[in-house]
Amino acid sequence: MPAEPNVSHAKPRCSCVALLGTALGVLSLALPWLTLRTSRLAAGEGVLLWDVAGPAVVAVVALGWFAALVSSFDANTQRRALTLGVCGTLLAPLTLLIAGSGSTSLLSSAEEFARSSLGPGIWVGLIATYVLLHTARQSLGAQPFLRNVFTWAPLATIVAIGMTGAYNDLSLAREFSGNESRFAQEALTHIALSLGSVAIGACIAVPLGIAATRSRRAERPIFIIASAIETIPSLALFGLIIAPLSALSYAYPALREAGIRGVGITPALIALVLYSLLPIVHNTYVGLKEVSPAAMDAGRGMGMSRAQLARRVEFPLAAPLIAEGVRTASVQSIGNTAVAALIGAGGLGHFIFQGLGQAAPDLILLGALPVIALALLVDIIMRAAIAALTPRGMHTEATT
Amino acid sequence: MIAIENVTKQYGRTVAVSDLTMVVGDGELCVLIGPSGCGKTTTLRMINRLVEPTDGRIVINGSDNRTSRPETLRRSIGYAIQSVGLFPHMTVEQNIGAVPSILGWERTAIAKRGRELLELVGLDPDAYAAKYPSELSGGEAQRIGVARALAADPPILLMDEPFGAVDPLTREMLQRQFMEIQTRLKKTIVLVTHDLDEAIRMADKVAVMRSGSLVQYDTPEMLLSQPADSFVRDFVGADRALKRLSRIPVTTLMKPAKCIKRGELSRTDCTRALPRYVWVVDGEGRLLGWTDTTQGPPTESWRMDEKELDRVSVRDTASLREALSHMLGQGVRSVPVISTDRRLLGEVTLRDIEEATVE
Amino acid sequence: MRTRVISLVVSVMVLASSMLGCSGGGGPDPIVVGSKIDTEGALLAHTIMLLLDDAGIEVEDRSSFGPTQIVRKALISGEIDLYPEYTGNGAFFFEGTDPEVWKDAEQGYEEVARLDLDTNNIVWLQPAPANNTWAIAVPRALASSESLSTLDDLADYVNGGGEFKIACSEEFVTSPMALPAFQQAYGFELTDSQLLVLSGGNTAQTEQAAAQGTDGVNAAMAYGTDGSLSALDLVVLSDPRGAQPVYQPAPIVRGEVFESYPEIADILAPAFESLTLETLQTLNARIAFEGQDAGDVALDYLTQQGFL
Repeated sequence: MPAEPNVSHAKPRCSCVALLGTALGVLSLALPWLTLRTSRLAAGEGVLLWDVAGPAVVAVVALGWFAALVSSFDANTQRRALTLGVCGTLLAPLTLLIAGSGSTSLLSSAEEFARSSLGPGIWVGLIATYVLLHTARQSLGAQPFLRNVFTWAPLATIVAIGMTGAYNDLSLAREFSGNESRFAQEALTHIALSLGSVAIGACIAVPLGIAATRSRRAERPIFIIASAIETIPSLALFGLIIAPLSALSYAYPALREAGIRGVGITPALIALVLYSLLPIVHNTYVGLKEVSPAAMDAGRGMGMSRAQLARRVEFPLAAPLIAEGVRTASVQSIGNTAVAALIGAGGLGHFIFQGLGQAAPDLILLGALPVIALALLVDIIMRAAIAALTPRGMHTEATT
Repeated sequence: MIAIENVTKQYGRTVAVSDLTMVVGDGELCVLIGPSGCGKTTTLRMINRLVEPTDGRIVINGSDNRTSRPETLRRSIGYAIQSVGLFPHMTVEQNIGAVPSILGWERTAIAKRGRELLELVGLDPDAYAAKYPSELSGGEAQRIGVARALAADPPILLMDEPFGAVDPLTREMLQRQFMEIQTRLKKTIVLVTHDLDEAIRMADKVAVMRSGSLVQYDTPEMLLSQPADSFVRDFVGADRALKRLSRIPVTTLMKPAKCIKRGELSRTDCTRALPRYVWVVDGEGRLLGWTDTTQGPPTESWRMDEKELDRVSVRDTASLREALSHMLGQGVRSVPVISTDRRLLGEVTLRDIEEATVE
Repeated sequence: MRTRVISLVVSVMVLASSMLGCSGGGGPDPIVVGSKIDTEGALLAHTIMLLLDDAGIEVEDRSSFGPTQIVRKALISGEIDLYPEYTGNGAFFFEGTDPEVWKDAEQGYEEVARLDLDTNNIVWLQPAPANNTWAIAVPRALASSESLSTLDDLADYVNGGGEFKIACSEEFVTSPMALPAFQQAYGFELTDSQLLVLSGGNTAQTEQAAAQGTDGVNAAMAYGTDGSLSALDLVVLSDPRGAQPVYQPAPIVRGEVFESYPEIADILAPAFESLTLETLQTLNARIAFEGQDAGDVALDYLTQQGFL
């Protein structure tokens, strides 16, 4: 009887992405975790982890990364995913907690207006924990409960710790407390401006997309114009709109009464609406074109009128793609709105530009981080909504 | 009844259908067949006005099909196409209920009708009603396409290669099932196909078209025995005699078969007044095999190998063509005809087939 | 169910867009106070708002509105009603003016007040005495080691071959009122290698660069009232020959609004008169250096000085 080939000693396959993440995490231990400045304007000095945290804490962090490192060589996918997920869930809040308490202790012995900011070590460490959690979630594709645990538990813990005020001595938190009321106002303006412009843009873009599918002659100019608008840098577009809008509002005082003036929200809104057109027009067009011709023929043949065909077949089938276009436009709009602060429209960009003007990096972060978080949040919510609203029979890999 | 009167369809300089005149009677299944580009699909689509004729008219049950709005007309005509065109965002039940829904039926009535139709096409309603088209096999989808076409119980059905997109085995099963449904429902059907066997098997009348014109409009038997010209003759194929056999069920020529009950015979009976080879059945009349009477009576427990028996016998639903095929394949001159539960019903001989086939 | 969710989403979007059109409730229109996006602008805007509010006039906060051109457009078009502007900027707003006019505080103020009233119906109110003009600042270490206290000293130092690199903005280098004016008045000329030009540069960045010695920079373009100067240990070199125009901050208001509220002039004047160069430097430092809220700093100052 021929000998069986020996297959039991396969080389243990590691998850290369996880390995990268844990390598970054281990690296982060050696980088400065906090940056101590004598004032919010001064240059800072790096402070290492073991200078702000007791030996026990340092040991826990090091252990966490070491466990993750070992685990990334684990061939047992389930066990590896669980270990990485747990490591990430613990290390992310712990890192920030150390940042907060470390800042408190640094500032207690520093000058009056000293500031403590997040250093490269923490940034790299946070990226590394994200990689861990991401890898864990990927491997747990078929177990939605665990996936959700590893998505929301770290965030919830971070937020919960924040509510106890543990981060209050970080420079970022100080900037926030110096701008609290303004922050709420600008955040609301930002959301209203970015999402409102997409809502208005959709009302224009969907009919344009429909027109493009119905008429060859309309198709080219619609796409050329929408694409051209997209290539104009946002600040330039804002500037281009201000001049004619100002002239218009001078010529017709009625417009001024109505609040439409050359600077402020109106030009920003117009520009943002223009930017949201292309993704939505494009997706509307593709969505309608991709509707199965067989389904359309069957619908016509069974006696549906044009309107019924559109309402019962075409649009429900094109809807997921159109919704994706709205999602793309929304995320893009949140980013573009950051520039609107420069023409008096407000929004979170206000802090970015003020921070630039004062050369205060944490003030810039106060504006930039919420914009990023907002974009991610809107993206996640919209994806979930689209997936929930797409009938089971239409799910493709892209939408699940 | 569908009366197509001098209908012409012209696209620019191309003539797709040229001065076509034919009548499809109530309850008839008429097949339009011909080579690609002969105008059969265009003709079909002119009946429900998906295409409007350039000239001529189509009269459905006494009224010109242009008197009502196209949508209204189509809602009273069932329409099933090769690619089925099920709506991917709707469940099977919602798909089937599409026309009733347009007509304003109540939800409970639509659901009930959906279940009825699923059963009609041989699919378990509990299993299939909530499925989505993406979860169906090709055969299941085509069956649901037919169910959808029948949902509002239209008197007329238009079908464009409705069984075309599946493998030959499934296609045959679908055709057989459909014929059973048609026997029950007796709809007026116009069916387009390029498959001659399908046409021969299913049609009451066949319209052979070529380059937009009607070449011959006859029953399949007439088509096969008296093709109108060389085109039709070539089209139906040189083996048309065999094709005709597929239209004739074995039960038409079946004669009673000489058989004996197992264990009934004694040695002496064997040699007296029985042919050399005789069928053996059991107490209930189920066929067990054939025996050589010169070898003596079969014992109480005697029976032939079932597989071997299946090779020789034909079901009562079979056609003469199958019977002939068995005879040629097994090198025998007669085949037994058995029922579903294997009871011997009769036999068909080669001589009988010869006499039936002569042109 | 699906239609309900969709209509919910649509109404949220509509609500978001309607929020944009939202303006204040009934009653007399509040005075909309704007400012440029800089520390001093925010400080002065909040000062103005606190004083007006204390006098019972309703105000709307649109401070840190945008860069100079945007804010000015906003005022002219009526988007905002009032904001603090600098007298010396009259040279940029109006063409064909005599450059010498701007070098005198009183003449400059009267010129811009007249021109703006005639051309745009904008009223200039009582300015502060602080001169927030362009200056050159060097680290205290350099100032003491090379004995630099005036721009004359700097000219000698540079002409004597001393190491010098200044961080500045494009405007500083090209505007005839800025570096060229200094060079002409004091008789020195900087080569390209002695300039580090930051496009769109602001003084916060240039001062940081000088303080940290980035890229060999040991001098910075600065404004007279910058808050970071003392914080970063930089010393402003004085301008005895008066090469620079005078930039005094003053509240400017739309003519129509001033007609409705002429008392604004008297409400704001005393406070603005009290804002000397040193005062503004200190107040700006609290905002930029200590990170206090501009409104808090303004409130603190006004209460301490008894204006509220």
